[in-house]
Amino acid sequence: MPNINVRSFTPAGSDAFKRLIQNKPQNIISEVKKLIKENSITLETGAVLELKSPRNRYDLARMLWEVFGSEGLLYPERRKIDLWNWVSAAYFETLMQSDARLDITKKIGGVDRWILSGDLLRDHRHLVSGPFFAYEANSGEPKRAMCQLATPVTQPGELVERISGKRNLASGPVCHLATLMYYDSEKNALRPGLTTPPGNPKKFSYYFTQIDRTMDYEGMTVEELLEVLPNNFDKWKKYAQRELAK
Amino acid sequence: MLKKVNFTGRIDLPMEVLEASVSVDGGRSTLFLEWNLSGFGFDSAAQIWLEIRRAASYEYRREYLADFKKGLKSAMIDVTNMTDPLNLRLRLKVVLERENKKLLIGNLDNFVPRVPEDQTNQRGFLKIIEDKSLEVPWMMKYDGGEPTLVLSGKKNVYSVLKDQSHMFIPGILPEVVRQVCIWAAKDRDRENSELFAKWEKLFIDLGAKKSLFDADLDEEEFEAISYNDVLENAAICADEFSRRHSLLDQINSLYSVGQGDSNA
Repeated sequence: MPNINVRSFTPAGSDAFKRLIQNKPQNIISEVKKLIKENSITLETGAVLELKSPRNRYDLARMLWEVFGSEGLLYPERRKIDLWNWVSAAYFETLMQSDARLDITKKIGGVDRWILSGDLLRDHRHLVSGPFFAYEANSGEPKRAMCQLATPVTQPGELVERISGKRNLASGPVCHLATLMYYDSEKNALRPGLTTPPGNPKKFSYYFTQIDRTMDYEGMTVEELLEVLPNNFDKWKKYAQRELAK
Repeated sequence: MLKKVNFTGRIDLPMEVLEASVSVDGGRSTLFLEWNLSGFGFDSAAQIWLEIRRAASYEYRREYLADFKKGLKSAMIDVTNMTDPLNLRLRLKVVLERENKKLLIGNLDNFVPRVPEDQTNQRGFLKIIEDKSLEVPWMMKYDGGEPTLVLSGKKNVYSVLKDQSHMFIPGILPEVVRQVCIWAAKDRDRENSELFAKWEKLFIDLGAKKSLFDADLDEEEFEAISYNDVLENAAICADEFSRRHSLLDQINSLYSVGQGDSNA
C-alpha cells in the first residue's frame, strides 16, 4: 500500500464524513476517498503514514505510534478530534477490505466507530484512535494491554468494550491482569468462551468498580490482585497464573 | 431509627484538606500540593498517594507523596509531560497495606487544582485587558493588528467575568470569536502576521472557508467577498466554538455528579 500524506479534516470535513457513515451510500468507499483529498475541508499536517492492512488492533497501534507516538511528528496533535476522523477516513477502504464479512453495513457499523465526538464514554469505540490510545496508556509495556489489542480492528469485541470503556481499568495492573486472564500469548488471540459467565469481562469490570472505594487496586501487583479476585474467576485465574509462570 | 455503619472504615476527606495549584513557567508546568490530614486518626504506617488525570480523558499518572511517619505535608510534581496541565483532576488516597491488600482508608476525589488566573481562558492568543472607564461590560479593540478583549473594570466586572470560566467561555467567547473572524476576513494590513496566522488557523479549524483569508487576492477579488459570506462564516465559527465548549462543560458536570453519587 502507498504512503499517504496525513491531513486533518476541518469540522466541515468531519461532518461530511459523519454524514456518509450515517447514510451508508452504495458508493461509500469512493466517496470517502474523494473526501480525504478535498482541499476545502482538509488541512496539511506534514506527516506521512504508510497505509497497511493491520492484522489486529496491536498492529494498527504500532503503525500509528510511528507518527502519533512520543517520537512522532504528530505527537503534540494527537488529541485532535478532526485529525483522527481524517485518519479513520484514510483507513476506511483498507479496513473494509480486511474484514471478510459480506454485509458492508455491519462492517461500517455505528458513527462512534469512525467519528470521535470528545465524549469520554464513547470515544474508546473509535476503530482507529481506540487502539492507539490503549497502546499509549500502556506504552511502557504495550503487550500488557493485549486484552484491548488482540482482536481484529473492525471487530473489537466485548473485552475491549469492558476494559477500554473504563479509564480505571484501561491501564496499569488491572489491564495487565485482564490480559493474563483472557489472552493466550502463545496463540496471540483471546481465549475462547471468555464472554460466558461466570468470570466474564462484564463481571470483571463490575468487580473492580465495586472495590474502587475500598481498595487501592491501581497500586497493587497482578499477583496481589489475583489473590483478591473472588472464586467465580477461578477458571481464568488459572490461565493467568500459567501465563505468569512462563 | 436509621443508623449508619461504616464497614470499611474509609474516610471521605473534605476538600479543605488539600491545596493544589499548577504554575506554568516557560515550557515547564509544576503542580504544587499542600495537605493536612491531621485529626483523622490515620494509622502511622499508612501512605499518601496522588492520582493525576487530565479532565475528560484517559491520561493518568500515579505519584507517591509521603507516609505519616515522615510527616511531609507538601510536594512539587512536574506535570509538563501531561497534555493539558491546566486541566487536571486529582484523587488523593490514604492507603494502608494489610495482609497483602492495599486498603483505601481515606479518599478525596475529583479535586480541581487552581490554575494561574491569566491562563484560565487566555492560554491561546487572545489578549485580555481591563479598562476601568469602560461603560459597557466588554468590547473588542484591534490595535496594531492584535485583537484585544477589553473588560470593564467598573463594579468588579473584570474579575467576575475573567475568573469564572463557566460564565466566561460559553457566555462571551463565542461572540468574541464571531467578531474577530469578521475583522480577520476584512483586515488587509495584517500588521501582526504571526498572530494573524494563529487566528486564521483557529477559524479554519472551526469551519470557516480557507478562501476567506487568502492573502494573495488582489483588491478587486478582495472586494468581491460578500459581507454576507463573511457573516455566515463568522457565525459558523462561533457556533462550533460554542458547541465544543458546551460539550466539555457537560462532560465535566456529568463526571462530577457521578463522583458525588459514589461518595454518597
